[in-house]
Amino acid sequence: MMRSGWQGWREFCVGGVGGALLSIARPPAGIALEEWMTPTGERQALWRAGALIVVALGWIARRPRAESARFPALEIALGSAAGFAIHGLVFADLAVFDATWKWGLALVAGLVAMLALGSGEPDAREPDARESGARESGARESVAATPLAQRFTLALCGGGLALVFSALSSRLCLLGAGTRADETIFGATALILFAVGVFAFAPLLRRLELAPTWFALGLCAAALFALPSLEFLGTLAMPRAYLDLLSRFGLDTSMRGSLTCDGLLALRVFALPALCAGAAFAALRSASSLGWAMLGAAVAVILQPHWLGGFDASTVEAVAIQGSERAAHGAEIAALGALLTAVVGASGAWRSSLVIALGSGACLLLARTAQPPPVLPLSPWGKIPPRVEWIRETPEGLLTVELQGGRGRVVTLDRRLLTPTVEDLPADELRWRCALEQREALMLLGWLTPERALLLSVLGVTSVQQVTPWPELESDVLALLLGGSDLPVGLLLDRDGMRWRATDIATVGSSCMIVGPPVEVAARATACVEDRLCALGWIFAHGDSAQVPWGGGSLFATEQVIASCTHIEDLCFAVCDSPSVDWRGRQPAGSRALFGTLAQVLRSLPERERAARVAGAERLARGGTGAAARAAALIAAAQVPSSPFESRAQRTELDSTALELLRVSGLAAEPAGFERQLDESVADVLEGRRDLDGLDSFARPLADAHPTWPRLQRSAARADWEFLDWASCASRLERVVQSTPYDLQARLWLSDSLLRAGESSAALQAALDLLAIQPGRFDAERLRAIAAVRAGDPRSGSWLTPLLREHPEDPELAIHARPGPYPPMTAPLSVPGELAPSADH
Amino acid sequence: MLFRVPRLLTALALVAATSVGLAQIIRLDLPQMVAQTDDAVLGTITASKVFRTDGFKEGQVQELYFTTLTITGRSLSNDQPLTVDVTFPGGLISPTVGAHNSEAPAVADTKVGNRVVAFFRHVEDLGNGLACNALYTSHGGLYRVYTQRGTDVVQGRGAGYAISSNWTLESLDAEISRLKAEGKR
Repeated sequence: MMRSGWQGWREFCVGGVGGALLSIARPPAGIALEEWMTPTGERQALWRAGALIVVALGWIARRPRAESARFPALEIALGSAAGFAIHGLVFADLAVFDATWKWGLALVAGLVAMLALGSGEPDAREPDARESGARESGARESVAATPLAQRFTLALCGGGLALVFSALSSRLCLLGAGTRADETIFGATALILFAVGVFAFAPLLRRLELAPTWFALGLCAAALFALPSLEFLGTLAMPRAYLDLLSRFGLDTSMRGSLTCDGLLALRVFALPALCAGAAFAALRSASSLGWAMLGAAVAVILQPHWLGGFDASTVEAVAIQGSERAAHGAEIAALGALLTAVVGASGAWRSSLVIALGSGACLLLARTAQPPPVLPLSPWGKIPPRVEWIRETPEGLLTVELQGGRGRVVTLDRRLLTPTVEDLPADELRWRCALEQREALMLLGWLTPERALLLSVLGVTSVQQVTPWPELESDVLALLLGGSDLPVGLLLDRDGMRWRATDIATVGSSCMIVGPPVEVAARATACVEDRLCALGWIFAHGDSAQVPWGGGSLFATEQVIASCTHIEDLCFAVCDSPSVDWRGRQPAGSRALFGTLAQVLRSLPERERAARVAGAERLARGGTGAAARAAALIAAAQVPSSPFESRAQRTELDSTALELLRVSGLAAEPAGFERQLDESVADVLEGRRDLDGLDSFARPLADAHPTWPRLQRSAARADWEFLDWASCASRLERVVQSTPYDLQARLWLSDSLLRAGESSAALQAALDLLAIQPGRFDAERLRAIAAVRAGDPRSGSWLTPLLREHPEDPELAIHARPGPYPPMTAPLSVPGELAPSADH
Repeated sequence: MLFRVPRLLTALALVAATSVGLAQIIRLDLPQMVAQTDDAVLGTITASKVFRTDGFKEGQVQELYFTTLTITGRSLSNDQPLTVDVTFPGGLISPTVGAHNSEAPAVADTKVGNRVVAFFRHVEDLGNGLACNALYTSHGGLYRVYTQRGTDVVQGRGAGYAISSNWTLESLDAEISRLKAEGKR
């Protein structure tokens, strides 16, 4: 079956180069400033079409093979699958194509390689086939260049098939983890199935005398067979169906985005169409036919984003249908192409042309009359169905604005978050605080949320330019995010800037800061913020941060980043390459990791994120400076899967070596920047776990060494509080209140501590100070009344009586309505001002 | 397998709620806890073991996981030395085999070496016919003990728990002894 060894390997490599070019044709986010969140639809279409055109030219420009030579369909198909998979899973980490010129160079090199590899003469000696007497199918067929009219009809078939697969992929990608590796697995599975189709049907088709027009019918059938796959994807919108599918194969939702889960989905979706396409390919006798079909696909890819009515749906129901409608139209185009191929080829083998015409006519009829099913699987793995307020299907992907359980809104793209959730807000705020230099003007490479707007105005920003790939949609999305509220006073949104593009960068002066917040992307590049004045781009550690260039340009250059975290799970790195700006907290980091993607796809989603954090933190640590980086790597590595019923703090493991590193470093000098953030995150975890031993050994020494560090003073105060050492607790809280006078919960806590320590007068004063800032606060009024009674203050009656009238059930108030002496205060259930733990929670 | 954990967990939670009342969190105060338990031990966790039991319920195979902690110390009722195994539902035999239980103590609380107060009661059937000293009300029966600056503190868990606020160990010891003595009269 296989051609002679050497020729077979050459054809395999030709296919491999083609597959690799298709894999390269997936631009990362971050090439241009407006593409920080995602590459634009135009760039995606251009890159994909460019690869298809180059591969097509590689086939069209090949020397026509000898009639006795068999078309190397199987070798090419296997090579394509291998090239696509190997590049996407292995070599994509090695060479990052984050510029148009790099992409162009790759295409030229690929074309040269395809032509060079494919220029060898086919082996004239095929003794096995000839001696067996088996007739070479196509041996009597012409292997000359494709006739002119057929070129157009084959291009129609290819274009139609491309539209169908594009619609299919746009829905399938919603079920992955949204990374480049998912796309690679989906594509590689389809190509493997394609190769299986070739392998299965080639022996049969070689024995038949098939006209070249059968290739067109095969493409048409592949397009039609893709429509039931859409219906299957539509059923997965129901969580029950999605979970049942996974459990049938021994999987669960934690395996989403893994090789097994993605492979399973792709297998089910692409089985019929890819096998059919493989059969069509096996029927080919001329490489140029394939080339013309691919050219048609390239044209379809370029024209699709401009399809009038193809992307204008604005409700969930309409979007769900519109994808299927595009697929149905694609199938109709492919069927029309096959029909026309039969017509223009009728002068040759008329019987086969008649059969093809009837077959493609039937396909056309089926495609036209099929009811397009609603297909929109929106996170069926979630415990709560998403509440979509706004939706658009754009050339960049599915853009939504969703409610977050009544606590704000988020923007998503293909189910990837583009804005922080409520839980992420503290980390988002910290990133802005630690990175925003003294600038009044900000160019935000993302979405302006109400929380960001408020914070930016507090930080002194007066003008914000929001830059996204969707300038025409920014007003709608912003209005929803702001929820009808106005921007903070003094903060101006530069609406003219909404139409800003990368070419205007020259007009951006040194007074403007460019910041790209961290977003979940399929693949990340940092080209747009490298070597640029006052530009900074954040990358999540739990993504592919270890493999992404962090500036510096060279593979082995030492790079400079800012690290930030409120908890090890939200560890982020900011690429800030500009040498002319002295970024606070910038530190050197090691070179990027290579070949990390392949290992990742074998892991479950939680394990993958954990491993990515470890790799990112270790890369930071390889920069060689500071205890914080090493400690972060150790803490990231210490995380293990935990019970879902534990709190975040309980789920977080703390490495003792890391804590010792931080403690020693913190005692030597007051920490700043990332080390300070890491210390505070550790203190948060210790507090959340109520780990008094940990607080005693970690927080207390640091708090004692640095009395003006309010966060650590609070942690140490908590340990004192739990040990019923009220006086020591109060002493620490006094320092907290001095440092942060508007920390009202600290003031309340201070008053309570002083009261328990027997310092009633001081407790009364602390309560009065709090009420001066926040009058009418019940818990402070309560403490004021009790402290006044214990201190013998003549105003106590006027404070206590109204409270007792409103809350007669409060036993402590009732005790203080009677004459003294008074017993000790009842033991506290929690820190004042915090939600008290309860068996009911 | 961990991917079975969610289904097993649901089943376990249902089983726990319907047939294993001791595994539920019940609102108790300290006198009620002392009255309803056999004893309370103050000691150090010296061993922890997770195991699986197989049984049948309504014709279906029922696979349940339990954790047993060995606590070595003294009884808070009579001050006598005491080493006792206390058991609660839930636990992982390996990172991917076992069941999480919403009422089980946090992993950090059950680490070997921790000093704890544990209330327990002997039951004939904690699940699948397992007779053992059950940690009463699961995580509601286990309390961490910390020692610093010469003071031992038993950490309370909040409203509705037998030890709701923090106690000094001395006070709690005296209170439990008193309640036990009252109960015997």
